[in-house]
Amino acid sequence: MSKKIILISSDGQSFEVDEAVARECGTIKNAIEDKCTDNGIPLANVTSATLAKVIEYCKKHVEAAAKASAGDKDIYGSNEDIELKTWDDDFVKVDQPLLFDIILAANYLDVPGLLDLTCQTVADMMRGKTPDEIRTIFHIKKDYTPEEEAAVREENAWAFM
Amino acid sequence: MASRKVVGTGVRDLISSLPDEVLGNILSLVPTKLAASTSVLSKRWKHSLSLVNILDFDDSMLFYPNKVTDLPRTCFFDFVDNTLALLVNSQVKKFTLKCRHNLDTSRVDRWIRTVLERGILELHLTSHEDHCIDSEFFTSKTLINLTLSHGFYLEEGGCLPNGSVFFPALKTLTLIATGYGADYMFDALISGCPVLEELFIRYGDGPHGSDWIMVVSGQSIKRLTISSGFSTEELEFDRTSVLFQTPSLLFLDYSGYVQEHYTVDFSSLLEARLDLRLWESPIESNFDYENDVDVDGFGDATILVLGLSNVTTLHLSSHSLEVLHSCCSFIPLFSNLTDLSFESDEKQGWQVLPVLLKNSPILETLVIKSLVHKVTAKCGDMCACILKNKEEEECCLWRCQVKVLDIRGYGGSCKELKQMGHFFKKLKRLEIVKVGVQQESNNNGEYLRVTNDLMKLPRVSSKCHIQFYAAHR
Repeated sequence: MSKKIILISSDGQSFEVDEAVARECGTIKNAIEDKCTDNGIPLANVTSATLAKVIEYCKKHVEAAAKASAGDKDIYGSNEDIELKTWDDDFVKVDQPLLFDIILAANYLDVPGLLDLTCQTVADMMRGKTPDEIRTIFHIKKDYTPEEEAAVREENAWAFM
Repeated sequence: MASRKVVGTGVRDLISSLPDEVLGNILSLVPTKLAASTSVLSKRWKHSLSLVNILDFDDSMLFYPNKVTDLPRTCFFDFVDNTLALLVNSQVKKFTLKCRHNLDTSRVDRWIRTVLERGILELHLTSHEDHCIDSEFFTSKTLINLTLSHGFYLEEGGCLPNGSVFFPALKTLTLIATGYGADYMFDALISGCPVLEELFIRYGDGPHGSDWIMVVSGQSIKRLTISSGFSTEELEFDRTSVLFQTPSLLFLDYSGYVQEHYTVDFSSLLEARLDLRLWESPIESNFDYENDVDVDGFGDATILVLGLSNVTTLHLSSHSLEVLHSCCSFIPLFSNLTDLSFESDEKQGWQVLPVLLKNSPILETLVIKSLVHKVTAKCGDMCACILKNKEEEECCLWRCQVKVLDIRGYGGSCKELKQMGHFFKKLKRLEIVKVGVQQESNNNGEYLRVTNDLMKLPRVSSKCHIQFYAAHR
């Protein structure tokens, strides 16, 4: 019977998770090892909606790792990896506010796989786009004067060709 | 939490409020040109380029390819110089350079030396034009992954770095069409990487990749992939020997034309993928395919196949089946083989399979990609194409221990159905049969017919159970 850890979101919601799942988060792993988990771990920077997603990711990856070490390798490479990748691709199909909340949570909670996955998602949204297109996608407001902008463009001319 | 900028309709700019280290992570995943161009997005982004730790330069990347520009060619080189100067105190982990246009060779040399001196972990170099790397300074204590592709090469007869050690920490080396023919620099490079674990070589694509020394000697190498482009240009027949001195090798993926002599040391090998092909002279064929007579051809793969005989897993391309049949004086005993997979197509026959199965006493899993094959008298009892006499005791399939049969790409034709019937009647130990049915987009009726036909076939093994899945071509 595995030990359960209680995680408390910034808006007061409690989440009970298996210790193995909680340990996917580096900061929580440290808290467990420092033995300060008795009354649950408060996470002031993570809302319940975001925490639910982080827990979902950690749970799936703990399950996948257990399956990989237990099962036998398929002859043409592991089918599990493709399945997990497809799951990851679907996992990040969320709107921008949630995506960025997950990035910040993954950074704060130290979940390297999730941080890499979500950063890659944002990078993929930027690829092949011009600065103007990027501004539109991410709602960035230009605050340079025309002279300032010209100076920035000249500094790294090839970057704007 | 940093305050968020609000724009117009209440949609927020969330990306600009990410902490530097996270933004740096994101920008490290895009081409450096794109990362640099974000400096113009807003004032928060002015120094965004300084946050990256991965550099990826591609001189053919243009936002506006149709826009005529009168900026000089040096523009690209200046950009790389400026970026390296900007990051002088950063820990750059990875440097990738792809050049399609003319090189400023002295600048490229300087970049390579600079990043190597700064403790880089990965270096990937590709060039359309030839660029000879200064081998004496081509060394680093930290590099773990190196790619040299197309134009980048080390000059034969060049000076070696101190103690002949190029990269003491290198684990992965990739050489793509670098054309190392008949030279010792290739060997020196491999020997100069004493902990090398993974080696990938791509050759035989034409002028740059036409030559490969056909020798791999490395005590530490665990994974080796040798991939041939099967160039149809005239081969140089003066080099016909292949040497693999790789005692620690666990995994081999080898493709190439069959050569005359092989010397191998595969004492640790567990898994092999083989795509060997017969060189077919465009002028005249040496092989009497019609009568399936073994004519003296070019190549002898006996020693190579013998060297593979201790593997537990083996994959054979359809061409390899033909090569094993016609270029091996005998097929060895595969005493550890539990997983065998092969591909077939209508041009190659199954003649080698009866003896291969007989020589694989503990085979458990058989994966076949496509049942369609060239019908010959020598497929023996492996296939159901030609009616035999009732000498069923001699059938190679009777003694076969196979429990799992996986057919990838089943079309449902009469011939294939007959073949499946043959397998079901002969394989006594079958427990699971997986069938990957090739599907036309919405033809469910066809799918049902195909699966029903298979379900109706009599099975000699009472435990035998069929699963269907959709196969992609």
